[in-house]
Amino acid sequence: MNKVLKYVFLAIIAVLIATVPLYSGAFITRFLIGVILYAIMAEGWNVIAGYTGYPSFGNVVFFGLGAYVTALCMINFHTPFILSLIFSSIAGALFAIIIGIPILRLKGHYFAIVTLGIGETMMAITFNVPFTGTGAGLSLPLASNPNLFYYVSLIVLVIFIVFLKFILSGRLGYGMIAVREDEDAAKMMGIDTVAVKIKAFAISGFFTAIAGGIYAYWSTFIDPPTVYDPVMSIKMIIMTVFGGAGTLLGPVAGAFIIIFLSDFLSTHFTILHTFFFGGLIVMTAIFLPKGLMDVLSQKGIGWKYFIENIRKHRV
Amino acid sequence: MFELQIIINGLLLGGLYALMAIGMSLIWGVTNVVNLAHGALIMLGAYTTFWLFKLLHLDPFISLAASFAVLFVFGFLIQKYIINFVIRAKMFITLLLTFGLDILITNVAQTAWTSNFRQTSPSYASNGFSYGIITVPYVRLAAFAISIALVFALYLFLKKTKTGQAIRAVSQDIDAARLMGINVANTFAVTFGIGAGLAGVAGSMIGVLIPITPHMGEILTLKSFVIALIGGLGTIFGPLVGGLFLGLVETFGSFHLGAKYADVIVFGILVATLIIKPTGILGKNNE
Repeated sequence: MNKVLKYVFLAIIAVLIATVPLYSGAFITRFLIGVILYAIMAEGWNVIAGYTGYPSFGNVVFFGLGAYVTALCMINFHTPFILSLIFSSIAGALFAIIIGIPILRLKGHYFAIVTLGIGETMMAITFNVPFTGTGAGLSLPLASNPNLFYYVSLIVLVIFIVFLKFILSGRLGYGMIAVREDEDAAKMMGIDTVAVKIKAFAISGFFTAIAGGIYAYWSTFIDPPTVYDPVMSIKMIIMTVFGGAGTLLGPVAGAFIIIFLSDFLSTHFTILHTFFFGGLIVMTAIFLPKGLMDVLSQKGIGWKYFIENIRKHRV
Repeated sequence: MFELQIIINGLLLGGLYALMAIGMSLIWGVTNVVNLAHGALIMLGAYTTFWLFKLLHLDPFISLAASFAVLFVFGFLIQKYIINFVIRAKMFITLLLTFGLDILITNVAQTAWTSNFRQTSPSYASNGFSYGIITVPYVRLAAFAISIALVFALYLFLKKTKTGQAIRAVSQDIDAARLMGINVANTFAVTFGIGAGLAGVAGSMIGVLIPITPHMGEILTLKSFVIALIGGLGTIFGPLVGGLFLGLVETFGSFHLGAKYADVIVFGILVATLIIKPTGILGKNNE
């Protein structure tokens, strides 16, 4: 009986989430679209960093690429929105494979900084090649129904989470976790670590690019500094780390909480908002390096937990 | 003849690059933290000199000392009270933390000083001497000379002084250093302070050459990393070689391909170095 009740409860919540645009105003819908897009990106970072142990500091490159592919398809070839998103996702995955082959051999700091550099480089290239509209940016047609973005992004997020849950219980998922825990040992056990890393990176690129495509049509205007903003890569990271890297729903919780706080501060305490992201990152790194999900899984939580975290990591 | 001018420009820029990167290389080599807030520290150095010049009419080359002092204290406190707490956490946590500091410092600077372009412009900024068709601006020559001098000063400091020896000991073996009675936490803080101070001096001189904005640091962080990497970690003269190399390549590259591609060139060098020789030009091969 308890189980039935639980499913009924979950079903009600699912229906409530799925029908948000029908009963809430444009403001809340808009806020939730932002949350869902960031949740997709954070989950994308979670795949390559949280599960596979390769902390990319430039995942925004897939977002920007996806945004530009969708924009260029819709402007130049008038392809339908959904088809453009598919092109974006394929471009994101292909790009991840192409850059992944050389850079996924690098470890630690080297991998992190190279990915950071790729984002900056794509921004510089987009500024300079003529068909991307250079620094002036691109304007997309206006969508007839703004609620479309809510449904599309929600469906993508749900597909992503279900897909991730599916691969985590399979060969690839165990391979990713093995690579994260000890790459050499994984190789010795016969895991094709190169293939695992590239597949994980491709999944990450695939979904992050879709988020970029949705963003492009939603905001109707994109330019290089917006869609290749390195701070966006950091937002994906902090959302995942805050929620819990290497957990299925941590990134979603992180995205929701952080965007809620950020929006709240920016409307009510503008000055505090200046310090928000930097301060949040510093606090999370010191007190919550394992994320919210780890805190929730503890029985009886007190100061001891946080002090223990510090004691373990300080010099 | 024109090529000679490019070589001179590249070398003069490269000296300054070396000074900019040596702090990052030192911090990385000793504490194993890649400081993504390095560009922000350079930016703070640039503003320190700018305000001293603007408000007190202090010559930018005199205020270098002030810039070093301010950034040394700032860096010391950051390492001692923030970074030291996460130094043994996962590598990406320290990267994330320093990036958080970068965002924090940049945002505060932007709120306090707006995003307006500013420049430290002493009366002699455009003076120089010419020989044939080659021109050497005094400011760039002075920046180059001071940078090289500071690199050598750092070398002597690390070799000859007690603090310098402590820093080298900690970078080699933390546990053994601790057993010898070295306070590791303070040594880390001093190391970060010196790195930050040198970044501040570099920033002060960069502010005389190019416009200052709160966001100027982003690309400088990346460049510092590339230079530290090309030169090889844990070497003192590595960043000097790396800086001169990057200065030359960038100057040649922007001349032949256009200034817009300067950042792309930097990144190309980064990837090429990592693939061909990840330990850098002067680095040892056993990493």
